Amino acid sequence: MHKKKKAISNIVAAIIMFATLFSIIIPLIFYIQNENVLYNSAVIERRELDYYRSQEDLEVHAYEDLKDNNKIKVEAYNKGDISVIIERIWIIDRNLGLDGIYIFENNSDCTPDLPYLLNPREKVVTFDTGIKAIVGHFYDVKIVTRRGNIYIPKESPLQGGHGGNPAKYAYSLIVTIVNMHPGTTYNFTLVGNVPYSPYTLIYKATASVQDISMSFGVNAGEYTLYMSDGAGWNIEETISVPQTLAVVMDCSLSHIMYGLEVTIYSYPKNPLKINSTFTIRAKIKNIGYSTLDVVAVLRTNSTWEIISGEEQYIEDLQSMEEAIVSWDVKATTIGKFGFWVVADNIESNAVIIEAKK
Amino acid sequence: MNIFYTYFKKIIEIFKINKRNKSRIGISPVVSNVILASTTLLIGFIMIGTTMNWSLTTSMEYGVATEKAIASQKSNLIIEHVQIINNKAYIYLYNIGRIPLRIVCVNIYELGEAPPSPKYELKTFTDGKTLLDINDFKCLIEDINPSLIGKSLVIRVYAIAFTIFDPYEPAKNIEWGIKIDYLYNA
Repeated sequence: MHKKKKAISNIVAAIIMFATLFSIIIPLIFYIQNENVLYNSAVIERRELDYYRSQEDLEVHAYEDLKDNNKIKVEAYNKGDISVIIERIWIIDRNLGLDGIYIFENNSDCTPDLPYLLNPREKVVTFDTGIKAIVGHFYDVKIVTRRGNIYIPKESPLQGGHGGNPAKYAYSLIVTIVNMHPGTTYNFTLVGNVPYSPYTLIYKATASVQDISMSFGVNAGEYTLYMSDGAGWNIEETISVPQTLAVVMDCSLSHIMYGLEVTIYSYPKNPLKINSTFTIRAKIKNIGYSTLDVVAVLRTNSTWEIISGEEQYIEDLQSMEEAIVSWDVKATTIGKFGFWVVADNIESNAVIIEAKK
Repeated sequence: MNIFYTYFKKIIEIFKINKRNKSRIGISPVVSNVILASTTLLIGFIMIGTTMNWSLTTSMEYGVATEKAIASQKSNLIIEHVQIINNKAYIYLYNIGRIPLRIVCVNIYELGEAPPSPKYELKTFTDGKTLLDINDFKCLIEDINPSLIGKSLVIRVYAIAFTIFDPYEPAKNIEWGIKIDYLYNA
């Protein structure tokens, strides 16, 4: 029997090739992949840090508390969406050189202690640095967060002896909101030179409380007040302080997006002669806050001829605007008949018109 | 000369004899297989050795490059404040990165001017240390050219992750370091 001869060198070569592949090439690929994963995770971590850093949003103010021994106080409010850790507060007295640099961080004399965790839209925190402002000295103020953002209050540099921002709370702005609709949630925003601008209030009106009044400590300047009901209705008003110190915001239209008042206010005196022509006039008022295109239709239980056609069109009827529509009718038969107007499913009062021989 | 000719002739004859007896002279299949397999094995080992060497070099280079790139990604620093007093700049640094840093250069130049070429050397903080650890906040003092006093300045700080810093060659790997600017208004 013939025995088939096999080439050993081919087998050896294949073994070597596989050995090289499995012992060198594949581990190398795994290693490179692993390194890439490590690098990518470092990149992702960096991006996350940069992103969170950019999301920090603090409103900071500094003032000299005239009622508390002229101490410099720093206020912070987290108006962003993420928590912020205040790491350090700087007070730098420009007049004292190196001796005038006060850094408040761990175990410092600042109250409350630093670092301080400030949650989103939590209450305003006031840091008492204990440093007495000296009349005539200028103080730079900085707040540093753990993620590395530096906030400088707009009052910085503070001038000692001026109580911080001299105009702070110089005036009281009284905002009265009236005619709120029960069950509707209102958003109120005051934008301008207020300590934590924009100041936002969300308020749900109830049957018992439909009017509220608020007071804001403000400085002189321009302010804009916005109100909305979250469903499309909104009003805004711009005022100047101190010329205007009281504002009334009327919400009576807030819950009425589409609304019409339809009234027949003019029609002929009864009775008419048969085959005479008369005019019926209706007043259509848009009591909603949306602009409407209205189709007004004259309805009747008679067979009288409506000369001008049943339908009348009113385009772009603005909020609180009135339109007068009229129909010419010919009394073709004897009898008493009713007439009324329908506009967007709103019916007017009905009037009776009689025709005789 | 004749001797050479005689030898040449003999060699020619030997060749002729070999040619005539070609079918009878040879090696057995086993021997030929062994020779071939040995040659393959030898070439294979050389190939494995070369590949292994290349693989080790590549992985090492790749690993080092990745380490530098990761160190660069983790490096982050801010200059919180700069105070210039008596021809000295007090530079307050805060490490907000994820890796300890070393400061290798501070350049102070007038705003609007071309920055001077950096001179790399390890800087020491006021606490006598050279390492700015994660979340560390330290001060560095730099001499300042008196002609720059009273002008708006740019303070440029070069930092490098401690893992890729070479104390004997501070400029090494500087391309993986970070550069932070601070604008100082007079």
